[in-house]
Formats: sequence, C-alpha cells, structure tokens
Amino acid sequence: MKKFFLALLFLTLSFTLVCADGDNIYDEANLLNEQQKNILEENIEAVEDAYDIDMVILTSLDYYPGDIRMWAADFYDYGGFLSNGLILGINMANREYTIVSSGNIQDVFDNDKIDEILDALASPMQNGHYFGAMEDFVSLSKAALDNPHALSSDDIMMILLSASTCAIIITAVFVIYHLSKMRIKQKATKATAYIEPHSFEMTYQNDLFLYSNIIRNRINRSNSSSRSGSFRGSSGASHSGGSRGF
Amino acid sequence: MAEITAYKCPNCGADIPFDPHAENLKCSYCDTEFPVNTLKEYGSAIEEKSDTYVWQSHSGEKMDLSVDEYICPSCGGAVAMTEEKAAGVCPYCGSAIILNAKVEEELKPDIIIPFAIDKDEAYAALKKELSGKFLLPADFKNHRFFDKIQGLYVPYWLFDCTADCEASFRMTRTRMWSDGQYRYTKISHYLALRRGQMAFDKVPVDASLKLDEELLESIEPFDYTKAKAFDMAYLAQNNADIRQEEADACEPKANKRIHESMIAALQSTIIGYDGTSLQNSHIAFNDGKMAYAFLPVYLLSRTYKNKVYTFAINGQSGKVAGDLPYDYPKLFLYGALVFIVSFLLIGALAYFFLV
Ligand SMILES: [Zn+2]
Ligand SMILES: [Zn+2]
Repeated sequence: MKKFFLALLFLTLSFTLVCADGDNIYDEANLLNEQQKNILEENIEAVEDAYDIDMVILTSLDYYPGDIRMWAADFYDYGGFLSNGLILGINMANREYTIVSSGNIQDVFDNDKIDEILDALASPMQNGHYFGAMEDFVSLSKAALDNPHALSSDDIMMILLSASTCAIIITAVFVIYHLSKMRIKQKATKATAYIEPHSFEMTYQNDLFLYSNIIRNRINRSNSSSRSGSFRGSSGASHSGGSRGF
Repeated sequence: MAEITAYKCPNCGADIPFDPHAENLKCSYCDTEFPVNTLKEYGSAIEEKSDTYVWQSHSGEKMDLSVDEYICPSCGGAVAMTEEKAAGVCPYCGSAIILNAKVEEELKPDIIIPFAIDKDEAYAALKKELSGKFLLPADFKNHRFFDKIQGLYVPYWLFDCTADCEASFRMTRTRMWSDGQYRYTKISHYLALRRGQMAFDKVPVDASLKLDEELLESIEPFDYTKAKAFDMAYLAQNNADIRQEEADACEPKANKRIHESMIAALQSTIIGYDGTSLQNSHIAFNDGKMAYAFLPVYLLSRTYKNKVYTFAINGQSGKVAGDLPYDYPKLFLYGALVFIVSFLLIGALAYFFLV
C-alpha cells in the first residue's frame, strides 16, 4: 500500500513536471538542459499564477518562410493557450527571435514595450546565451506586469533629453531677446525713407517659366530584419509584436 | 566683345548652341528643353553689366569761421566751439578737451537742420529708452552723468538722384503629391525680369570722422522739410563737428543703400511664388547731386568699467541709439532660473504624457 502511494505520488509528480514542461516551454531546438528548463518553468509559473496569463517559450530548428511573428502568433493561437498571454519565439534556422502578445495584456506589452524587451535581449541572443535571454525575457515581462506604467530608461532618457533641449532653446530665446534690447542700434542697408513719394515707375516686367523637376521618393516600408507593430494572426486574433535578427 | 555662340542652360549652366531654325532647344547635359525666347530672355538676364554711379562734385564753397577747435587728448576727437562757450567735455568719449587752434576757414554747409528738442527732452527720451531694461546695471542707470549731454551739429553728405535699375529674380513653386508608393515633389523654376526708376531725396551718409556710422544710421531719419540755409548764428547755440570726410569716401555707402532699395522695390512686385531670390541686377544714375549738411544730434558719452558708451539722440525726433552694458551676474542668474523652470515644467509635462 505504501509502495502504491509512493508510486502514485511519483507518477503525479512526473506528470505535473511533464505537463508543466508542455505548458510553457517548447524547446524543439534543444537550447536548454533540464535544470535550466526547471528554473524557467518555476519563474514562469509564478508570473502566470499572479496575472492569470500564459507565458510561452518556443524554439525551433525549422526554417519559417515569412514574418517570424506569424510563426509565434500561430503557435500561440492554435496551442490552446489562454486568450491573454505572451510568447517568445527563437528560430535558429531563420536566426530571428520574436515576442508576440495576445489579448488584454497588449495594453502592457504594446509595440514599444516589446521593442524595449527585444532590444534588451539582443546582446545575450547575439552571444548565444539563450538561457540568459529567456531568463531576461521572463524577468523583464514580470517587471512590466508588476509595474505596467514604469518608465523605461529609454523613456527617462527621452524626457531628460527633450526637457533639456526645450529648456536650452527657451533660455537662449530669453537671453537673446534681453541682450538684443541692450543694443539700441539698427544698421541702415536701404534708403527707403528717402524715396520721393510716387516716383517709382516700372518700365519693364516679364515673368517666364523656365523648367521644372520632379523628384520621386519611394515611401519607406519597414525592412525584414526588424519588424514591429500590430498584426493579425492566421486565426484572426490580433497581436502586438516585434522581431529581431541575431 | 567676344561673339556669343551659345545660350546658357538655366538648369545646369551648360552651353546650348544656337540653332536658327529651332523653336525649342534641348540642353545636351541635363535634357531639359526650352523655348528659344526663354533662353534669349535668360541670356540677357544673366549678362554681367557694370553699374554706373555718376555724382556731380560738390562746389566746395568755404566759409569764414572764427571758432576755437578743441581736441580730446583721450580719443583724438575734435569739436569746434564759438568763443562764448566754455571748454567742456569731449562729446565722443566724455573726457576733458583742450584748446587746439583757431579755425579760420572750413567747408560751408549747404543746409542745416536746427535742433527741435532741447537737452531736457533729449535726456527724457534717453531715460525712457533705458527704463524697463532689467539687465542694465543699477549703477549705470542711476548715475548722474546725464547732465553731460551736449548738442552737436554732425556733418553729413546728402545724395539726390534718379536711379534706373534692371534686375532679374529666380522664383520657385513647389507642389507635392503621392500615389501610395511614391512621394512626388515638383519644383517649377521661373525667371522674373523687372526694370524701374525711382527718385531719391537726400540720402544721408555721415561725414563724421569720429562717430560710429551705425550709431548715426540708427537715429535716422531726419525731417528735411525743417532744413534751413546755413547761417553762422546756429553755431553760437551749439557746437559743431566741422571736420568732414571727403564726399568720395561717402558715395559708396549711398550707392549701396540706393541699389538695395531699388532691388527691394522691384522684388516687391513679384508675387505668387514660394521662394524668390535675386539673380542679377544692374543700376545706373547720371544726375546724382550732393549737398553738405549739418544735422542736429545730441551726444552723451560715459566710460563704464573701462569701456566708452556713446549714445546719440536725434535732435529733431528724439530717437535714441547706443549700446548698453549688461549686468552679467544678473544675466546668468535669470538665465539659470529660466533654464531650471522650463526644464522642470517640460520634464513634468513629458512625464505625464508618457505615463
Ligand atoms: Zn542643362
Ligand atoms: Zn574724446
């Protein structure tokens, strides 16, 4: 009996483990060892429990022809996940990685936020530290959910930069205006005040067309190595997402 | 003169050879096609012609004077004073002046404009100009140096002429549209030819050897309807700067001002384009006359922190000109304050916008 219970416990445990593995991490490219998988699972589950979302990591060795975001979005849409969730896809054949958000967490993981996380992952991805990149993905996503309106360092830089630029311009205008008031002088370049009234007489006038040039510029479309924006997956669900090459 | 065998392309400047039979000619470099008439007009518009400025020389009539000329040991300025007047301070720098020599003869002004405002009014005009300038150091503003204000007849050459000016201008019109795939910008180029005449009456150029030209230009204009024939009696009331620069040296300034005014008048007749720029111009006048005049100016000089500040006030209109010293600590303080306040305000605005 005792043995049976132990066996049952073992079975349940291994089932949960397998199940958990199946739930969140689909490492088809074998980038992770078991220990790394367990660490990630644990971290991901903490986030999922706290926010009632699905967080998925997908890796693959199969080349995906087309927008890599669609690959991740379709995997998420057809994988039976919660409608609110987030997926990190790493395609080793395309050498591209992508983050796509679904459902109402797109408010938090909008295109700007996703771009910011993609940028943060660029360095570990390029250096082949895939586990590190995934850990960063989980922790950055958790931070974004914990504090959805926190300013990123980019935002802070932008505020500081725009405020100091505007302040410099305003100060310059202020200083130049007051300094100009200290100079009560005006160089005379014309003799307008000394024109005899009504003496101006035009004796010849002719306006001619010479030639014209047309300049044609292609309207810029985003290039393939880096994408961002909202899009619709093949299931019809709308997503926010971005991708980078590595 | 070398014979011209080609037109110039208005687009790229390359030569386009003559063809007596063609109505249109094409530039072989840039492939632009032009009607021959356009190329002809363009060719005459870009032709370099020298300007003609002819001024009748002044009679140079001298007047008998018996005035004392005082000289400033500090700045070298000279001022003529009649005997009744006590030696005072230099109008150009405020230092004490000393008797130099008696002057018996000098160029006689054709006209003089008497002072229309008195010293108190000139002082009030200056005071008004200085009020409300918060960067002005307090010790400069409050100092009682204003009693040193003095009227001086400043020598001027006045130029009259009728100018005939030809000018060509290049204009552009820009139109933009897009078809979803491309953005198109079409820039059309035009040429305007203008010729006109205009009469100028007494364009003043100061003949003062000592006073800053920009300072005197700044207190223009003078009202010539109040001008009188010169009389020695005027010099009994106010000092005069009897030394003058030669008319020849002043002519180019008058020429330049007349030329600029002509171009501005012709350019003002070009309307309906996005951008207009002068391409070429040519001016001529043959009936230029000049007159020598004394015009009324109040002067006030003060040395402040080793720098001379000279103010000029139009003796007719009370118009004030001059440079003022700054209070640098105040400027820095207010500048820093403006910077900090605007930085915080815009930073807060940007923060609320982003969050
Ligand atoms: Zn050409
Ligand atoms: Zn002096």
